[in-house]
Amino acid sequence: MRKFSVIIGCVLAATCCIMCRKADPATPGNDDAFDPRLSGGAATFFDISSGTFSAPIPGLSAHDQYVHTLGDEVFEQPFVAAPAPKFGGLGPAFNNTACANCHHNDGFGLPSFGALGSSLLLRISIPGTDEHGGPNAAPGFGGQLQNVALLGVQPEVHVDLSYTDQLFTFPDGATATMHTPLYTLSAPYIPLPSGYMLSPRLGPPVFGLGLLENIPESTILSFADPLDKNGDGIKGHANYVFNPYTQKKELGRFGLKANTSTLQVQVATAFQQDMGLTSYVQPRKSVYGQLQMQSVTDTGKDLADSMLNAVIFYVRSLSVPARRNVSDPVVKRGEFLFKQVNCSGCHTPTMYTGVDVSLPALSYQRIHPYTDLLVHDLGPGLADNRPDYLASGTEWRTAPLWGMGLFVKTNGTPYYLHDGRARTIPEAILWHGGEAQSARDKFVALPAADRDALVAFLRSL
Amino acid sequence: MKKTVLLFIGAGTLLATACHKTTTTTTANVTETEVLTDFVQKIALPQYQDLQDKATVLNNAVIALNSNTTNANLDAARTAWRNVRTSWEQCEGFLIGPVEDDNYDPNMDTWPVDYLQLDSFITNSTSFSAATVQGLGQSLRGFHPLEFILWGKSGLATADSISASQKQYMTGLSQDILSTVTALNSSWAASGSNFQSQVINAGGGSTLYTTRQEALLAIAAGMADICDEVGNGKMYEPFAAYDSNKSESPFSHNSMTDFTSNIRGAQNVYSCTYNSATGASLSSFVSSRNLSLDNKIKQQYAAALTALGNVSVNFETAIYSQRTQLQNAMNAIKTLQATLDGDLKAFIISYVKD
Repeated sequence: MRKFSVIIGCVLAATCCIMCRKADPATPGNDDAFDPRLSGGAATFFDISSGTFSAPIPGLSAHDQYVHTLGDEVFEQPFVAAPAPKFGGLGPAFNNTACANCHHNDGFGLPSFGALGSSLLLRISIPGTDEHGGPNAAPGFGGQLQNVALLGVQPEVHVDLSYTDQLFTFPDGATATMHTPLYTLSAPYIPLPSGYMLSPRLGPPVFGLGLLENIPESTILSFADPLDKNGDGIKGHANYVFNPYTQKKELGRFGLKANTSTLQVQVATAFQQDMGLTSYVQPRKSVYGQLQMQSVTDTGKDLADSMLNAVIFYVRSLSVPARRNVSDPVVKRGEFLFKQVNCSGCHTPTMYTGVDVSLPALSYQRIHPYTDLLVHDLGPGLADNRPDYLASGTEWRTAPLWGMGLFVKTNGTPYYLHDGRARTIPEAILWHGGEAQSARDKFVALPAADRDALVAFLRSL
Repeated sequence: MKKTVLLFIGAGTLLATACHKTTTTTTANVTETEVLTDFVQKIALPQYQDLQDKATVLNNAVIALNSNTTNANLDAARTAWRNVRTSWEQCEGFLIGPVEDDNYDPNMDTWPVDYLQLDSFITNSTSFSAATVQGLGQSLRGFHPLEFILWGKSGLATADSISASQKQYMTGLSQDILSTVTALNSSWAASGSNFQSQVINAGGGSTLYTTRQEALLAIAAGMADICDEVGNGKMYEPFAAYDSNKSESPFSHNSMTDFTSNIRGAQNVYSCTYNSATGASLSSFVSSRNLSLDNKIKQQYAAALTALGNVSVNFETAIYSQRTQLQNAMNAIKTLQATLDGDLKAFIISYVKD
């Protein structure tokens, strides 16, 4: 009898042990069961070279790999004026001549205007909304200012960018310099409309987008708390935007104000607005209805459908770089603080993508994008004061933080925030206001060693 | 009988061992730091300086051609152009740091040329200064518009056929190339932005390369990437499209030389040899730890260069008439790239731990 109970006891104990030890991979909160380096799940790439954002997701079929490479070539190809034997159709007014000029190494570009590597552009609109609830295009300028043009064509406007510096002092005496941008418009080709509103945008990195596109809407909506029912000061709501291809209102995921719903529209609109190239998704020149349209002789599609589709597939199939130094105690401490000061209130660390049978590396993956893809009020310091669908003039989409520690590898000099104004991570954090004010204040109040730990964690992403 | 075979095997083993021994004794055991330092001292700095010197010669030759437009001066400018191209394409064996981050590469080496805009610019512009050129799109700057003027669209330009506007434009172009190259050289110089210190101090204060492994991997990636660009891009795209309009230097028919210089540039990096100066090489570092890998890489570099040398006509013609030779060359380059990307990077990861 005694022997029997001992046996039962042992079995029970063993069962308990197994139960305790066994990780439940279905629980998103259970981090110990997973390799923390895998920011993109199966779509993670281990590399720390300047090409770390440029790797295709694993497991592509030979044909998919071919399409990815084709898209890569078009992404890097400078376009020229039409008629040209190859890659014609640029402009006539544009912001840059190749995708890769603004998205250097599939990262971002330089926060400047008009130069080869310039990645900044200005959106423009006048008060009111268009028939779909989006920004009201400025007459004669459209929704975006093209500040470069072909020879013989006048650019819509010339933009000068200058900065003023403010010194910020932490309670412990440490300092940081905050850089406030000022945009000055001159030489518009026709007078600018009264009451125009501008919004600067720095081209963001383009990797991991297939995963973001594949996050179920229900997951994104589950992060929303528009009435702040949990009382943490963070609201967050989805943006619903018009898709010109499907002609429907859809959940916005891409763009710095979540004003684009799909990669198809994102890529096609970037070709159209930034480079002046038309396609089956965006068949009209960016200068359609404007004076510069006189210089356009060929009104056919500039991009073959297959070229556009290849670039869409290219950005969909770029993998996410793996984290580094994940077991470093300082980094671990920083990760703890990131959650404690509630940066993670918007920069949501972990979620699952939906099922996609065509691309297994994107399908049902546990990923760490550090974004909720919602828009949040970030206060007056960062406000563009230009509403974009449901995103108000102070709201921005939570930026994904994955890969941010590798900006120095891909771009040499890292720049942060929607307009690239911040040159260091602490500077970027200091700009956060509105719903992020509390997290920012807690960061400021941390001892220097803890602030450094938090930054070290962000660098490990 | 069996015994004889065994004996042969024994002798063979002895011989093999003997050979092995002599090779290892000639190989100095270099350190990671020495490899990084000599990469900077013997490869990067001298090559960028050489590039600047050759761009200066080109600029002077173009100025001379502008003031005294003779066929002799045109030939001199063409030679100077080819020389600076050879130097630059070799520098592409290590596209790391400012050359990539600050867009020096596309500012001077974008192709194909935008004919329409080029014609429009030459016809309509009133200024062709370097400052004006610097404000142009990348397809109107750098080596290839200059090539277009020096050779003409069909390669038939003569001193008489170069127009007054073209002459002004070419001086602006060569001045712009010189200023780009000078800035690039300065970005590595200790007196300038001092990028060299990021490499030399890898793992010891470098903000870009926190470990020596990272810096060596970046150098390995640089070699692999240029092989990828040549094998899968520069050669493959015009080849696959049967289209010589897409080739790198179509007016001067310098494309094969461009490709060969690219691979030779990467080989220079691996062997730490440039202009007969040598230093502590990645090759020595590998051979003292994995002799067969070093032999494989050396052999594959040689095979790639041999295969390129087997193309006996210019690339724009070979696209149509020597497809087998081109395919062989691309295959050899891709084999090399796979070894650099795979075996060499894996080697660095397993042998360089700091």
